Amino acid sequence: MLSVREGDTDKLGVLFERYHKNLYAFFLFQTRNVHVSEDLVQEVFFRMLKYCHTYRDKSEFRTWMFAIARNARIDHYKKHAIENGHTVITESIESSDPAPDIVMERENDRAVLKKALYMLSHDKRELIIMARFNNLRYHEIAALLGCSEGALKVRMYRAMKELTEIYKRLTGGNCHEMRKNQDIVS
Amino acid sequence: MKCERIRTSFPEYIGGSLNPEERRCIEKHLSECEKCAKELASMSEMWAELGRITPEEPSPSLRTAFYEKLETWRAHTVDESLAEPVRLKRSGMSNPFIRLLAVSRPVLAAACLILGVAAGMGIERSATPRRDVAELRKEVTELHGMVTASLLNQSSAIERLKGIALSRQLKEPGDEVLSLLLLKLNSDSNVNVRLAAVGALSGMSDLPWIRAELVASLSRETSPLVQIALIDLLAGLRETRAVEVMRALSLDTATNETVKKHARWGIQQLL
Repeated sequence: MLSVREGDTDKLGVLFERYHKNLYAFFLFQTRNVHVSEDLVQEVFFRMLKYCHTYRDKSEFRTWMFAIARNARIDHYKKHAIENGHTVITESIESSDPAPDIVMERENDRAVLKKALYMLSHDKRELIIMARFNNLRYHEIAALLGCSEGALKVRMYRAMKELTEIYKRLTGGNCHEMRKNQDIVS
Repeated sequence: MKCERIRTSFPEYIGGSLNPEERRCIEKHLSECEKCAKELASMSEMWAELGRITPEEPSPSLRTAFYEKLETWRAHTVDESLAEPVRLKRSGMSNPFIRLLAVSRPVLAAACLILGVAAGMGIERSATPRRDVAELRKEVTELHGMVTASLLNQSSAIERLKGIALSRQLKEPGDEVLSLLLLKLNSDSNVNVRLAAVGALSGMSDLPWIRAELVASLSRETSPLVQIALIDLLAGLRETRAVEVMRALSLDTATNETVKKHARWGIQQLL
């Protein structure tokens, strides 16, 4: 990023190759719209060019990049006034081939889990996405949200607890592993 | 109260980011508190299940669009840094529209030409209402193709990128435009132009000979970025003729590691 700030815009391509999938996942889990997510990924990289002077030598790059990403998403929602993004989706059908039962069951579990994730409030969902899918560390997330690590721990715990409860409710109180154990016993 | 404090550390415990002392403290509590142990088990399972969700990947067009936009951004920056200070000093032209005019001269010239011809044909049509409209449309399309071809032959990479963008608007690009796009893909010195050509040709891939050319291009291409874009495209098209090329890439010691991995992924998609 320092090279980009000094005018070597070729290096933005390197950053793009390294981080665009990570950012895409961040946006897709929140907007659930492939087109919007791709547009927002591009927006992040061009905001990096525009605001590269705000990047400090000792800044943590990922924290700075995700701060831009969060702002881009907030601006998008403001512009389109769709806080909960009930828009076109997304989840592609990867194969039309009939899958074996076990694969179907696992796919079904994941579909339910995604549903549970989307039923969380936006703030809680974002926390889980950043920690689980973007692999951000606690101190990075706390810096992004402008809160202490202690406060973040509490928020993360509440988010995970709620997700677990929603998932159990959707699966009738049984999670996949529990069902598997029951299958073995029977 | 103790349970509550312990539980707030569960996500970190599951994620493995606690230090050994904190872990020991939690484990001691778990051995004494069945309720907390049960909650941790559920939460661990949920965390593991989340890890099994594979995030979807963006379409190849994102990469193409990014590099096209980056090239345009660079051109704006260069043009502004070279030309604008003088112009602004002389005439005080700070109007963004004037700046846009300066930056996009060739495209504007092309647009004016198309508009002029279209307007001329409109006037002619009103004078001779029986003139075949389809023929007029055909002429405009041909002109569009000519402008595209002209831009594709420019020495400036940004003009060639504009030509590629214009080619995407052609419903039925002629042989000349298709040949030029393939030429750009196979021999352009600028990697962004080659990437953009992959994107444009993806819209014309229903033609079997274009698919065959894309496979041949993959066997010749040396840039990892373009190789990956071609693998994505050919895998998406289910073009099985590409399997051998992908296999060769995945085995070649000179191939970039990411490309090798991608080629193996491509083969899996096609078999």
